Amino acid sequence: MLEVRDLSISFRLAGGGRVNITRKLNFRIGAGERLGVVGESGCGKTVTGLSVLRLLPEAHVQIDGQVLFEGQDLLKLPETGMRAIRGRDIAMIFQEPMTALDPVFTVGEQIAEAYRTHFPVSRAEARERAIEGLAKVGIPLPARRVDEYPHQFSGGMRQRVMIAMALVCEPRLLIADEPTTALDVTVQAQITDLLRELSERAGTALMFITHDLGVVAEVCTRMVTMYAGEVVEDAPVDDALVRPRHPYTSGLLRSLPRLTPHRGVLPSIRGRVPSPSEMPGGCRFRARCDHAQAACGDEQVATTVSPGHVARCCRAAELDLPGVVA
Amino acid sequence: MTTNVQPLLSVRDLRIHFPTQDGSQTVKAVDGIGFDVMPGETFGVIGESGSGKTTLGRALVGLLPPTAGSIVQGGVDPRTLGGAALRAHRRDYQIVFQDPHAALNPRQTVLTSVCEPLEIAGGLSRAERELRGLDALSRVGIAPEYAQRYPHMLSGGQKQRINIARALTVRPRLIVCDEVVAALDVSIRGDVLNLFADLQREFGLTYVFITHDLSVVSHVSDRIAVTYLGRLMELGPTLDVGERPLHPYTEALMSADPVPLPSHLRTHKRIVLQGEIPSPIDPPSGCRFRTRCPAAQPRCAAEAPDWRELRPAHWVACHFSTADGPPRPNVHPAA
Repeated sequence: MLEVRDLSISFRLAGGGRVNITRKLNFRIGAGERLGVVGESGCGKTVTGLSVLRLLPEAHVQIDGQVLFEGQDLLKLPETGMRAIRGRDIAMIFQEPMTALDPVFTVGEQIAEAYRTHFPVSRAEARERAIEGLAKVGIPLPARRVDEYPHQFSGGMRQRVMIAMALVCEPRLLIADEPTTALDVTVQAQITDLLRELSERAGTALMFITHDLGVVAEVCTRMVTMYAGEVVEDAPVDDALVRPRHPYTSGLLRSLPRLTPHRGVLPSIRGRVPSPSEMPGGCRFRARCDHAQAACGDEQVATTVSPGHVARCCRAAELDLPGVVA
Repeated sequence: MTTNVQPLLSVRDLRIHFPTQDGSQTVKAVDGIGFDVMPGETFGVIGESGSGKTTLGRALVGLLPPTAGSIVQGGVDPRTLGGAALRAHRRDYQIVFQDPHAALNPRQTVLTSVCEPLEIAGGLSRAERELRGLDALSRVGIAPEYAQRYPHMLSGGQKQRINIARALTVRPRLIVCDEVVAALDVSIRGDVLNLFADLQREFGLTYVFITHDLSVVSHVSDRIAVTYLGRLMELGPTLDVGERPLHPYTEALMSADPVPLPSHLRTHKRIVLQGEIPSPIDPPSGCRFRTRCPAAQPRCAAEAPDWRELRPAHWVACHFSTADGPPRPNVHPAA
């Protein structure tokens, strides 16, 4: 349904230079599939999500490659065509629901607006849709709360409102960028369960951007690991957790505290992510990798190592890397 | 824990209240908390936002005065001290904050920041201070060439190490760690947590480790206190609290933690709590957790539960918990 081909995003600098944020990303999301995009801060995962909906300021950003949505390249669409897709076929929710909601309109008005943008219905009917939407995401007394303002909702309820707004047009793809990071763990559990249920029930595909591998394990069917602007691994979630084929994915999994005995020494990945302006050639993870060899200095190619499992590492086939089950 | 060892921190019925902006109401951030922290231990405090854990942490190092109750540090109530004696006493109780960027002055070099506590403490020459500062930096794994750099030239992990070094310069007995790895990426969290463990062994430090991250607190702590809306719900040895909790809130909290395991190994049943933490301005009567508790009974609204030791050194505030665990959830008739 969504296929991203060789997507490279770079920011134009005021002085005339360019900083490459992502390089030749490739991944796809099938209908009804839930894809987790994981990686640490600065790896380009948020920018990737924004670029699918063309939400990056085009004057400052150079995007190359293709974003094919049901065969149509979104990057080539005129802005009017894009507007017809945003919110209708592909919707997005963000980390901080308070900044994404307008404080001077009721939540009902905001959800109804999203609906009326795409469907020629009366205000009364759009309002009905808003109430239905609030009920679907588990907001009690939806007919009353539809007339309340965002500040009258708690953090978790606001995120439910955002989800209701994103789903009101029944999009086929929902992009969720760290939707539970600002929430407490008990509320996070409510929201992740809700997203999974809604996706299962309506067949909505999900692109779930997060740094939390536990959340990915619970919500997603497949996961893409990003490192320094590249996709380094793409695999079914259970496969990636048990048998990661890229040393970075393995390192991320091994650094989870729950896999180390109480008070034992925690594994970590040495060094730090190279900055976009001084990106090394060859494998970008090489300087931090325990398995690096001379061949890692060459350009790395994404290779299929087992059915549906792709890794960008020349040693992927020979290495036996630890996952969450030691 | 032997009884002849004096606790390093002794907290009794601590209350910290703040007036709301218009002064008409009171936020009861901490509302009746008591526990002891023993020398050399890591005391974990978990809780969701609004549970009062950050307020508690600040009070433990004297940054907030108790509204009622007491905090005795090393046998001394700091309220009985003044002037130089108080300043000398306070050096023993340090805090490291969540945001490593905000905690460093962007206009000061690393070394100036690290030496500042010593300057305030007084008594050392500039050269001595710098020597001690450089020593602290090397203990946290920051090479001397970083000493003259500015915070913006460093990564988040390095900045957090510098904040730790700064707390170490005055050779404290206890450090309150308030969400110290929350702002760090997963791949370097381990490094910083290992550093805390190393420093503890080397200097015999005591930690109060405050976090909302269950996997972090379960890893580093000897004991865990579970806070909810300004009160303790449960307190006990880490493994016992994690694996055999006594309080329905702890049980739900642990079950909500997303587990990075493949589906065939994910066995735990999730207890999804309804709603969110109520306002600390007007907390529920009786047990504060009752409005979200799956096992609440009429008695929970009428009286606050006693603090009971149901297993050795394992305490809980619930009317209905037994040594076997929390009460069973109520069975609701189909609506």
